[in-house]
Amino acid sequence: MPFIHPVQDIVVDSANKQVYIVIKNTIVVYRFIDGEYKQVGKWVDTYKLDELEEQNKRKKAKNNAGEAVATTKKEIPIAEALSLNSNIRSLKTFNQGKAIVTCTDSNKGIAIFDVDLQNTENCLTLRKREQFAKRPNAITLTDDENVILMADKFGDVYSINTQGEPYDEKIMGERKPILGHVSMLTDILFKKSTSNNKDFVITTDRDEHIKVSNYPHSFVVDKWLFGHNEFISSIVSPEWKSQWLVSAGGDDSIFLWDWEVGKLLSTFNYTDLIQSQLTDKHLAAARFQNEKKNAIEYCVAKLSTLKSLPYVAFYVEATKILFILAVHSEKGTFSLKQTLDLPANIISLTQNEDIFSVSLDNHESGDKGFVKVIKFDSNTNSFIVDEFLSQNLDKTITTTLKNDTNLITESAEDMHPLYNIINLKKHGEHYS
Amino acid sequence: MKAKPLSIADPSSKRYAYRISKEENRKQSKHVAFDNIDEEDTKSNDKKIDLPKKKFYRQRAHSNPFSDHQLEYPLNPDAMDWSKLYPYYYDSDKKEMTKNVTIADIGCGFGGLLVDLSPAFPEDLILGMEIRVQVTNYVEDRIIALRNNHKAENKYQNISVLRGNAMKFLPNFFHKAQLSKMFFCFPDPHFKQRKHKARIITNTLLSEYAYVLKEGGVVYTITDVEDLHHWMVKHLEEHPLFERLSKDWESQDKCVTIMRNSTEEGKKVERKKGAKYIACFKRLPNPI
Repeated sequence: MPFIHPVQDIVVDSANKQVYIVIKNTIVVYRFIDGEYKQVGKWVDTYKLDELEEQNKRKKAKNNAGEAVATTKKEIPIAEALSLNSNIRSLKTFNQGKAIVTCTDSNKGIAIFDVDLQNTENCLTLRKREQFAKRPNAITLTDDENVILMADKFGDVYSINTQGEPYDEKIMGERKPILGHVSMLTDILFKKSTSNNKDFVITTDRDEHIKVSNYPHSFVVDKWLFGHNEFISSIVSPEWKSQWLVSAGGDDSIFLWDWEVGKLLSTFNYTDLIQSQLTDKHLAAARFQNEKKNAIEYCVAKLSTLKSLPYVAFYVEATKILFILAVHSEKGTFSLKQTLDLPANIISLTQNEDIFSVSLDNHESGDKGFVKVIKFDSNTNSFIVDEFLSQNLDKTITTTLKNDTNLITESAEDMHPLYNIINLKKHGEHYS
Repeated sequence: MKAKPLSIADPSSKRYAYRISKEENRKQSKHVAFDNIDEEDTKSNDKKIDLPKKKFYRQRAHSNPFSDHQLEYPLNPDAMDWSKLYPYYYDSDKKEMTKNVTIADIGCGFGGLLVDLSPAFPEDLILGMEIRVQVTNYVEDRIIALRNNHKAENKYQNISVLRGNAMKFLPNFFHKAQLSKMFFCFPDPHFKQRKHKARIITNTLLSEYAYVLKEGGVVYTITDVEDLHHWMVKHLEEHPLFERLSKDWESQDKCVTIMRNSTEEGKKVERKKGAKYIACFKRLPNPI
């Protein structure tokens, strides 16, 4: 039974009543008009695969002097190449919702769009695309929104102007990273210090490192935040306590730091809370299995925090539970506020103002339950799913996309890989 | 892996037997980095230990710095137990080190530089870091033997070695501004352009070296590969936190002399009458 592919990422811009969803290589924009969501924009990443392959060929085939040499290469089947190379990740809005930026795997690049809030036909206009040597993994913007900082799979961070022409290597020479790790980067944040108003860039990697560098003098490393024993997948720093940083990933705990002082304030261990949710999907890959074949591996996929309310939400990859922690801003500690049991596995989590939004792996429930909007209800002093907005959005997604052959999936096997953060886990494979 | 793996697994080989016996030796000496050793085991014996033979420790000259090695490293610099590496400088009453490491030889190879730096800088603790297991074992065995054979004068107590990936985990070992000198002697040239990021000197890694170096600290580089020399000079010169030291300075610095003459690579180049390229850089203050 064919179904619409689950929503891989969702970004809400509540000020402009817009919602951006990402499915495969497509961004769809919905706007809340006259009591319901309407589709107001769409962009499909049609970066040509043959161009991509041509490039791969060029890159791989160089002699020792760095000159290209002609070689023949194994052909990748188109379908496989599509699923491998067409993800859109890390979408962010800026300029009061009048622009968005996103990473596109297809060309290992980033794409910046203008958003015309008046236009209801297609509000997205591609402003520029820039291409990199290695796949961008995460992006953030400086406070003035003039510069995008991009962290890549190879460990380097590049800065890209939001305005102006795309970078031209022929004129300006090869791009130079502004800072780097010798490890895959997983997340990046731009922060202003509360004590001296200086700017910093915080980067996290697969080797447990959280590095705080000055900005724009990014060659000056300010400090490392040591404490993680496993890879880090996500960091957030709340607006209500800007000197704090929350981090999580392959460890059993969520970490709370004062990043300005460089101090670990506390941790929250979620091991016991998650045990009942772990299934066969969490068994370690065969080559990392133990003798009893029961080794499980799990990790926090994403953290999120609200604009003014002192809560942090997170979920563990391939589970249905959204955890919400209360953060005690006097003591610097966490406590469990609430767990929300959702109808399907969570595959993305974002925040806007004081609402969380999640998208779900709804492929078993037939074109409903794509997204859940979660807000704080002051009457009950708890978080609840906004069923009106969620169902309204679900309905619109179904009606607008049911005939989009590009986004219809025949079977669960054809879906994009939705659970691959655990692959960041290190196993110490090489001894010598 | 193109090269055939060494026959370490073959129990009948001479190399295997040699490595086993040396491992016993290492376990008995104090400075096995992370193992807890009983008091019993640390009682020194008085017999003279033979210096290790390099032929039993040969290993492929390259190691991929990006791959996921089975490494041990401390959670942070405070968690590092230096007493195992430098037992002579450990105050067991106060339970603290009397000195900290101030000189690092990154990619120390077979340890020739460490051995010569030891008497030249008796007031400093000097650490060699090497990514290849067998080569690290060789240096460790060499230091065990040297310490044992010069026990009366307490020589070679200020040098030690550990296995690690300095490109990834240097800040796990050293505090900000802890080091006064860093040596990069005959690093892997990684000729292929595609592999240039694997070079030990890159503009992004230099920021991390600058973090562990104090102001006025010195980075020493030496190589016999002219192309790599230009690469290292270019990147260090471009980096805002480093400034090249003059030829005059080089000619008066004793480390330059030691570096030129004491590493095994240096000696090999000497035998083959190859050129040696040297460049030294001073750590500048951070901009305000």
